[in-house]
Amino acid sequence: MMQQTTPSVSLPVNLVADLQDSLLMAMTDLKRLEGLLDHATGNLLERFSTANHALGNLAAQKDTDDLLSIRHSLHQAVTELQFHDMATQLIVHTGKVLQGCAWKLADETMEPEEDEMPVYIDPTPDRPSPVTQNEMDAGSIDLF
Amino acid sequence: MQSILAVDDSASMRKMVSFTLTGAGFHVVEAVDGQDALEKAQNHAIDLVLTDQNMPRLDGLGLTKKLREHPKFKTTPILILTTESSDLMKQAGRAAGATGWLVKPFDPGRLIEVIQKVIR
Repeated sequence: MMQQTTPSVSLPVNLVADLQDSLLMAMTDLKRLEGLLDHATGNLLERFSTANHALGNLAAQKDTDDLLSIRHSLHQAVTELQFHDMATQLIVHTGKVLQGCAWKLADETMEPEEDEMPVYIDPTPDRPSPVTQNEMDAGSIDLF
Repeated sequence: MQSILAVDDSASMRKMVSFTLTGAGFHVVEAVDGQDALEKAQNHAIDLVLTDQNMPRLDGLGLTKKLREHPKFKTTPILILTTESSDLMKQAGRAAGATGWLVKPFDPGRLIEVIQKVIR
């Protein structure tokens, strides 16, 4: 009776090393993207607060159609300004997936050096991404 | 003035929630995660909790369960505001004792409407 084995492929060491480099590069770029988002969002929120404060001072004088229109636009921007939270969650999740791939690749293909301590392999997240939205339209509301 | 405990590990989300709620006349107490929220809930009179789900230390479902164990928060409305939109998560929210499940991003007008509907 034939014993069933898991099909496997062998990869040249150079290819594995290149793949790992690419994964690490993608992770570094994601970190940079996260930093850019943090910086841009910090600035945007500061401008938002300044505009809101200035609007409050103007409103103390008299509400005009223009002021009402500006206030309405500012309120609408609240929905779009939530992109930072969603983008950051996506970046963190994708980073974990890439890191899991890099470590798994190393674990499966590289022989540990003598006296080398075993490396802890962070598993690829088994949960799907917490963010499934494709656009910045307001989400659903369920009351129980 | 009614007080709302707004819980989110994202500073930008806390800012947007706070801007929306203070503009509608509510007092807002901010917390950075579930654990921080539990501590602040003990020291403030809270009329409603609006919490994120995915947070370090203690998530939204864990916070909801812990608050419901406390007599002071047995009937306090708890709304979960999160990117998570699966039915499974919503069911878990309901089982934990949440009053409602709101998927991000929120629309300021609709958020105020919902809060005014459930707050006592």
